[in-house]
Amino acid sequence: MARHTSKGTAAGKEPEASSPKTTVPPIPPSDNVLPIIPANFEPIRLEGHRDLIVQQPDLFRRFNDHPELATLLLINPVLAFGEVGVEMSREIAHHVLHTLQHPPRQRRRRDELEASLKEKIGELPRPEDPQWVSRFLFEKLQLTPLKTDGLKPAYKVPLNAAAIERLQALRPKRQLRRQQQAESEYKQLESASGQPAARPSIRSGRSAIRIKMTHNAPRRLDIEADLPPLKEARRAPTEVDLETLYFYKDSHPLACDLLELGIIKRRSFPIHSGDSYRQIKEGQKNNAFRTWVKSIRFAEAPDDESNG
Amino acid sequence: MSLTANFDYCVELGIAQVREIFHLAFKSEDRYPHNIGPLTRSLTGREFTINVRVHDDNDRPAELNFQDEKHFRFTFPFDLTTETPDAPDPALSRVTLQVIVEVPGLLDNWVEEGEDVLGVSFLGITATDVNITRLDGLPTIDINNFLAAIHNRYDTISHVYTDATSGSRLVLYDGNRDNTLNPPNSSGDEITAALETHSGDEYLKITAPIHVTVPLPSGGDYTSYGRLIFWRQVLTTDTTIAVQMGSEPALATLRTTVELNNVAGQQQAELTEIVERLHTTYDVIDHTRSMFGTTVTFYDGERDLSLVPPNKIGLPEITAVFETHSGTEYLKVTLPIHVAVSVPVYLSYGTITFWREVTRTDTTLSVNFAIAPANPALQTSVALDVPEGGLVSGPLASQVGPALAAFGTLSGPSFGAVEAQLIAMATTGINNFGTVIEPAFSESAARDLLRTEIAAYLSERRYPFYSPKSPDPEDEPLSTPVGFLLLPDNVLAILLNRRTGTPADDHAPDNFLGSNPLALAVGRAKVDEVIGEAIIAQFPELSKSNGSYTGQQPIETDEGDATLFELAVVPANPGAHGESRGHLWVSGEAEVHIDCWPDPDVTFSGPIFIDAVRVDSEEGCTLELQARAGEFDVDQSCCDVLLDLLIPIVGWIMLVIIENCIDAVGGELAADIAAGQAEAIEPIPPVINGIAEVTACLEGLDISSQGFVFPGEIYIRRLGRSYEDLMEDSNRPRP
Repeated sequence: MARHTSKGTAAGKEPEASSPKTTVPPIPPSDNVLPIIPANFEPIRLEGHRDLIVQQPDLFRRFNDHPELATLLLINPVLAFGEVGVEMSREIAHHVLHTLQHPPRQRRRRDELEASLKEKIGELPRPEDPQWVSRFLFEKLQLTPLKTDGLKPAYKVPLNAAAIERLQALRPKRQLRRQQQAESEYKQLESASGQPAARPSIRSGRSAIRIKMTHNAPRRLDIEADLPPLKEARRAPTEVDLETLYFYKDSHPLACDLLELGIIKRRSFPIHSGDSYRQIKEGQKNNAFRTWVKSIRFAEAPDDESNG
Repeated sequence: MSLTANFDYCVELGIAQVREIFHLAFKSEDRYPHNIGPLTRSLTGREFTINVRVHDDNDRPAELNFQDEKHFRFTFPFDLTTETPDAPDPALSRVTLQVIVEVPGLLDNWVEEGEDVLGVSFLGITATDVNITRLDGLPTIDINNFLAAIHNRYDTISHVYTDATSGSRLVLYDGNRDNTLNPPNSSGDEITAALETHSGDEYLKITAPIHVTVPLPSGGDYTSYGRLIFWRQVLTTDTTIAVQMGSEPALATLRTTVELNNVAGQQQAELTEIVERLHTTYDVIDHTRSMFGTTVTFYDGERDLSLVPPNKIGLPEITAVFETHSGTEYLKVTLPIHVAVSVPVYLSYGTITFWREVTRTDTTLSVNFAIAPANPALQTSVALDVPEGGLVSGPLASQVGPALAAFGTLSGPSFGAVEAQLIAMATTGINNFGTVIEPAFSESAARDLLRTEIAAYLSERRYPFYSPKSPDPEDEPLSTPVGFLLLPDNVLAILLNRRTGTPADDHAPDNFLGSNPLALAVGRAKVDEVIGEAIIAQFPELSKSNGSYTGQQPIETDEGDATLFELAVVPANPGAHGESRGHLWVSGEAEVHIDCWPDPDVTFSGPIFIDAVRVDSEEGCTLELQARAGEFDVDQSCCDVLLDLLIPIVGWIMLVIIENCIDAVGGELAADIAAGQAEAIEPIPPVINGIAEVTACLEGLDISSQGFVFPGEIYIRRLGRSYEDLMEDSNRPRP
């Protein structure tokens, strides 16, 4: 169960009014990715986990010898194994996919939340389905709809505090002194008023440069941050995405659990469908991993070990 | 190719913006005075007060151009007014010249009030550096100026001159300027002058109306109006035209002369003197002579009453007149006589008429009675009252010569002596005019003088226009700005933070301004340095190794763990890696830790773009920068881990680069990183050395292998407002 605290401890900031969204234009198919020409391999059948371990050296060698196939592991590992002649049982396929999706601790938490929610609501939770989430909140949980238009959730900062401190030290000393002074003034205002105060306006000139230090992704929603005061909405939305669900996290424990599950699922390694896999493989569709990842190599055991 | 040469940062401005700043700066009278003076100069022996007004308006604009890599070329139009209270010609006491001058200004840096500044220096310029492109209003001295000077000087000198010895008096006129003179100027003529050339020299011929009164020795006065005519040499140099009135020319033909209207009076005066001497000589000669049985008695009025017979009734005296015959002047004398012949007896009164030649010098005339003229028409004749048929008069005329010779040689003053006296008196008056010196600069002399004066004025001056002054007293001083002018593109490049070498190694950067009015650049070395520092700050287990950063940096995320072995972030050109835009090329290697599976080594590489969007609002302009990994869809969660590794570091790289750049160029920084974004304000110094308020709006970001370029716009406003500004706006203060 997620802990619900009254005050957030995360590094994320309180929600603020959002700026107009910038639309990222669709990325056309890249000319940099070449379609993969299938190679012929001796088939390998993996029935169980032991087969996977025994065949590892051969599998690694096949992938290392064909690096263009190795990168397909990031698209759909089961299908990628198939490229090197591997057939998997459903058990092994499920294991491979499951292992890749989440690290163990996230896997465990995901399983917990899915089981708990399923038990409580009588169906498998689908936080990635906005219409399902809407029905869940307003029909199943009977929550009062809230006005969330224009509000932005709080996100965790991807960098840890130590890294931020080291990066801060790279800034001009004059800048750091001004920031410390501004922060001190802000805290004085806050302690004097007893409540969060608007940060003093520091913009005195005509021009400014604003740097967006990170993009905010749903998987970094700060579930422990405080929510702002929210007003009731006249009617419930028919679709609720994760960023909107965020504002209901304190309305009901199950809403918070659903949000946490949604965040975890967002963090999962995406496995592409067969059709998507084929399109990516043939260069008809872009995928960042296909263009960014240049090689995946596995450590191969020496010949005498592999023969042992 | 280099955006910033051997420096870290560079600000480039187009010449239009530099000119705008220049024109605004030039309006600051206290900093860039364009009303200069009054200055005092001693020129051609006279004190001049000089005022200069430099212009910069629509009709007469000042101008700035780029001459070479280190020099501006300024063009200044100005009016130069010279005043001297005692100009010989009052019309020349105030002269205004219209001048246009070109001077080079060195783009230099120095320390002013403890701060390093970049500016324009005129130190050390010489007259040869100054170019006069226009010079109008230089007066040309002509005869009218001389006349005006003479008339002006007349008012200051004495107009009546007296010779104490002779009592002669000369009055000098100039029209009716002095209406107290007695007698008044009958003609009303003014002093006139004309320029003449004699023996290759130029002279001023001056004619002045006069009146003379000369007491005659014989009594009475000779009076006459006339003219004083004199020449004086005109001496011309490159800077003056002078006439020394007190210096008479050596040429005999140019001696001072006096022309008097009363010529008859002159003759009468001379005759009177000669006749007086005749009378005086008569008193000492024999009055009775016997010759050839004839007794001749000479009379002269009642001078000898003892004579027998006495002078006939009426007592006629010896008389004389001047006559000219065949070009020779003679004295015709008529001498009353009595003739007594004994056999046969003949008695009669009569006269002897005879001529004697007059000999003149400048100051005397003389008549030698002993020499009879050869001209037969001028033979001595005798006329007797009692007719005698020539029997007595004829022989007597031929024999009376010796008796007439007894008069000897008579001399008297000619009127030339009077004229000499008058000229001496007039010369005193002429001398009182003194030396007339008109400052009269030739074109070349005027230009030379202006060049010298301008160079002398400017050679002590320099004017800062850019100072990356830190407003925080705790800061270390910012670096010395170094400037270059890029020709033929007409770009001012200001370099900051020398990275390598010494000032002797400084050289001009590339023109990255393009068609923008303003651009800031961060050099490749600085970009690499910041990238390296940011990488190590985020991944402290990595260290620099041959252009990338290597080591074993544990990465722990909610999505999984990895060990980062190598990371490199390199700015790349448009066109590199098949990307049309400039970008940061990221490459690296990591070992990904997968549960229940051997950890594979993953090598990765790809572009990160910095999207730059200018957003204008009521607050002003904002350049929004956001890093975006190429080929990544922001909603594609699969890649968020990589994005979380790369995007923040790029964000910090951008922040540190921009802040350090703005800090170095002297801009103003903000102090906030909030809600995942940071702000910096005023990219370049908002106030350039008290001249103008400058606001820069950066509009984009261009990445290349040479570094980063931020193109922008610049807005320039004069700092403070002057009366001139208010006048332009018709907004003068009202009562």
